[in-house]
Amino acid sequence: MKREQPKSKKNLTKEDFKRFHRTGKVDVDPSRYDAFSQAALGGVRYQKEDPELVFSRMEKQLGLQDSGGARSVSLRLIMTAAATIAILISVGYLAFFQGASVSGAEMYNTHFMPLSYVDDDIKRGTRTQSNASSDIKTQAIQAYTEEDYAKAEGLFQLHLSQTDPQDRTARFFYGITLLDQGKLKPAISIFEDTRNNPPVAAFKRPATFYLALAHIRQEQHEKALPLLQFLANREDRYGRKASEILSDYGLKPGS
Amino acid sequence: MSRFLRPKYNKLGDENLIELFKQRRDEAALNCLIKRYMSKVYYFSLSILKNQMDAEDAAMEVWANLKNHLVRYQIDNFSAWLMKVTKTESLKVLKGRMKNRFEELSEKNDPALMEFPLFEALDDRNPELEKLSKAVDELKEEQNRCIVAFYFQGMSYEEIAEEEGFELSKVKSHLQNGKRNLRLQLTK
Repeated sequence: MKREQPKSKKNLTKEDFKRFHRTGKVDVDPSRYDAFSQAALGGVRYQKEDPELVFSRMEKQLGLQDSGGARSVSLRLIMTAAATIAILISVGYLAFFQGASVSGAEMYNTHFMPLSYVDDDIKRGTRTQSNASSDIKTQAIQAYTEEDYAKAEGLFQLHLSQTDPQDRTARFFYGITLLDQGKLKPAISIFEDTRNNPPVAAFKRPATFYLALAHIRQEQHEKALPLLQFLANREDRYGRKASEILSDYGLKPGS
Repeated sequence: MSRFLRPKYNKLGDENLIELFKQRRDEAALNCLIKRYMSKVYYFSLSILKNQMDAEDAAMEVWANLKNHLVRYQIDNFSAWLMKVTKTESLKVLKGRMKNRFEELSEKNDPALMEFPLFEALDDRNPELEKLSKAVDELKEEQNRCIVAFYFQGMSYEEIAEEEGFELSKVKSHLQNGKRNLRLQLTK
């Protein structure tokens, strides 16, 4: 079968778009990419939700998930699948008879979504990119962005205790790192405070979301539900995610 | 073709995948083609619509029609063709969204209805809408965020203020300045 001629221009992939979203920047030279990729780059700034969720939703609707169509099916794969199914059936059987349900920790793992760090100091002009390059906060943001939450936690703590105890934005993101480490009590306190008195209004919904997640992880579902209902009233990334969690509880938004 | 002897689709070019689908109705080849372009179609549509849900709808419409298109037409350059189809579908969705927003603001007698050039473009052809969508990208960051949230995403002033962390008066001012700059851009 004839192969397509190699293209002179590169092609942006799903992984590239996911990276742009994760790092918050387009780290490629657009001129080296084909016209379609260049046109698609214009959409990156308008993507708020994790693109993985969008792609997975679309793939699900199109019936592309687990189609196995793009690869040859090997005997080993079939054996692995059969073994997995057998294990799942056994686990399901045991879980059913022990009356177990999905734990808060599992729900947390399923629904946690990272929030890009918004450096409002730079936005306000009280701090510049150049002089910020080596300070603790920058290192904390860097670690947070790389999802190294354990490292980010320590650095945020250092920044908040030594450099700027009044930096409520950093405190909110410090809360997210605590949540990830399972340090739920201090995380809840930070999210409640951020929710009631957000440093910028835009943090109210994310703070509510992470507060709900912390309650879920703590198995305090009754505290999470009203927060999720509140979020589900709006069609943004938090609203959609809250609706998903509510449907995991077997509830509909607004019920 | 035996299920165990399928070609390695990922290694095939677009034209080979189309050929496989047209000749053998090979759904796996079609799926591979869709997966290959899924992100580009979505993000290109998002660049025009500036609204995630609308972009998702437009992209899904593109994929829903793909099978018929492949059967009916002879497509020589799939990438260029798909880009054109995505643009057409996105502009169609944009036109629909703007019409809805126009009606919504008319009902409320909202002053924001006035002077927004996008509404004047509704009766025109697609190039005008496309030009406007691009002009919105050129606006200053705050103006862009307010214009996109208000007109493209249908948010209220209060919701924008909350989401973006601006004061209400600032939202109105960014919208006003954004509209003025859009007009200037378009009359250049």
